[in-house]
Amino acid sequence: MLRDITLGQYMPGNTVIHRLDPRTKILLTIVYIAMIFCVSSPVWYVIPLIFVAVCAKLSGITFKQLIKTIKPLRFLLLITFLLNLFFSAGATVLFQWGFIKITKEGLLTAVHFSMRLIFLVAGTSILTLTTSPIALCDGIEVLLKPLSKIGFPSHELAMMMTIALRFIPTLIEEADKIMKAQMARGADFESGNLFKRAKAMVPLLVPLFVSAFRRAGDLAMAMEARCYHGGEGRTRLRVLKFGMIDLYAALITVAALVLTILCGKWFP
Amino acid sequence: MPIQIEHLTHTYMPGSPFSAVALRDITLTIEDGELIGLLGHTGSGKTTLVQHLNGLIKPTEGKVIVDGLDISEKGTSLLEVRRKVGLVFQYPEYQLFEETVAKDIAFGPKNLGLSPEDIDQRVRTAMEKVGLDYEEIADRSPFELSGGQMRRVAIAGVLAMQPKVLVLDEPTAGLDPAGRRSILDMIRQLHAAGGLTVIMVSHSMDDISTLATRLIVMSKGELAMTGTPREVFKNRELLASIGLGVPQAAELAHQLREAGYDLPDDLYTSDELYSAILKLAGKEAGVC
Repeated sequence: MLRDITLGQYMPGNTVIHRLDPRTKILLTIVYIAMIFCVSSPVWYVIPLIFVAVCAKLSGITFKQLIKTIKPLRFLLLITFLLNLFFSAGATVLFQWGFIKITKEGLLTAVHFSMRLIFLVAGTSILTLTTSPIALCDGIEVLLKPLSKIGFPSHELAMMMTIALRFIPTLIEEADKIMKAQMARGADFESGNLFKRAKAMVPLLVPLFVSAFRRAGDLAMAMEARCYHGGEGRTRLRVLKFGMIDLYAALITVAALVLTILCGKWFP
Repeated sequence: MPIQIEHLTHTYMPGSPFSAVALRDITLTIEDGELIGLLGHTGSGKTTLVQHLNGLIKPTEGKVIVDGLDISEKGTSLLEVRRKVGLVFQYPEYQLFEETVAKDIAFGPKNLGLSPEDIDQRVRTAMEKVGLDYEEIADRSPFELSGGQMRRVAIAGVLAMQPKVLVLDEPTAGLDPAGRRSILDMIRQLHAAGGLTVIMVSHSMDDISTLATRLIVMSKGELAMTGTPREVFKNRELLASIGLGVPQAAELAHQLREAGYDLPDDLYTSDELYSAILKLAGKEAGVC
């Protein structure tokens, strides 16, 4: 039952986008987010649209998969749209019924903010769809390294993320086993109201926590036995290297950003 | 209360790229009062098979019928099946969760909806059966006990459901020799007290050889062999070909026979081997 959960969104592949250095992808995602916020009117979402479409095409991600990443947001989107639609100030009234009125400005803002949300999620999903969680952690670690000068634990943070990712499948398996063992003693996880069900989780969660702590202790011991002493002076197995494609990707993305800003200036 | 398994096939995640056949066309009957040793290499499907016996997983094809109840039929109460067949998982001590030993053992009977008096009675009986002292241990936290004691508490938790069939998945895994012996003795006593069918999964031949009335050998999801220990251990080559050994006594007897000593070919306990060697030595001494 629990076994069928797939982890993260990563779609393995070997396309140009997959081969980009994770650091490039993280930084360019930030540039992309800046680009979204520079869009001045709904029309100019055509630039991020082309950008996302090209990235998706290059990385072999289908339109369907992108839609799937937006799906969890549908309620947030709806609320954003409705709030902006009804509660924006504006002069040109398009429709009025009692105290409810829709203005042209309100409609524009509603579309604008909804588009912003959609493009934010769709674009950043390309990062998580094409980068393995381990590569992401590596990238984040290197990018945060400069902050370690002011005492920020960048290596420790990345190590914690890597370990957490590594142990999710293990814990799922463990949870599955404990669930079965308690079901063998007549436990019922599936029926009853919310309160009853929450209470039924205790026989699952207590052993799961106990075993997670035991595993953490064992892992710490095993790491120390292999001379782990933190990030200082540690070399890596996978050394990240910037290549020409990283340069091209950066140029294209920055060009898109500049174009967006200029379009906003010239044709507001 | 026999258990009938008919043409049981189980596939994990059928229809996905990860699909894996764990059991293939297994047909078997387990009679009342048997003490069965279920043997097989890691990944041979032992655990998958025993999880079918109380309906934790359902057959992909075929049937499992426990005391007339078909576990895959819609109207079957799985709680009823689980009351009849108690399953003790591998490393069962990792499933303890309550504040006190008594509460943890009471978890099963409570789920059956028994009265507090009945539950208390069952907890006491179960603890006595596994050799734990109620007065001393009942109110302690299960997490402060020793490994062997924790395992007994977990087994008591299943026995408190008063099952007709007790299934134990590798009950001696990870215990020291003393703990091992005492768990095996406990299983022997539980079975000897009568009225209980025991199925014990193991890959230790020495554990199982002196205990089981019948052995079932699995290999790669299929039924490889079944019979009394004496019948099964005779097939040394077949066992070796599926990655299993024979008990040490049988192995020694085999090597002695290879070296030219005239020993019977179906010895498998150390007592038998001991008297056979003595007899042989006596004969040879007589000849000299």
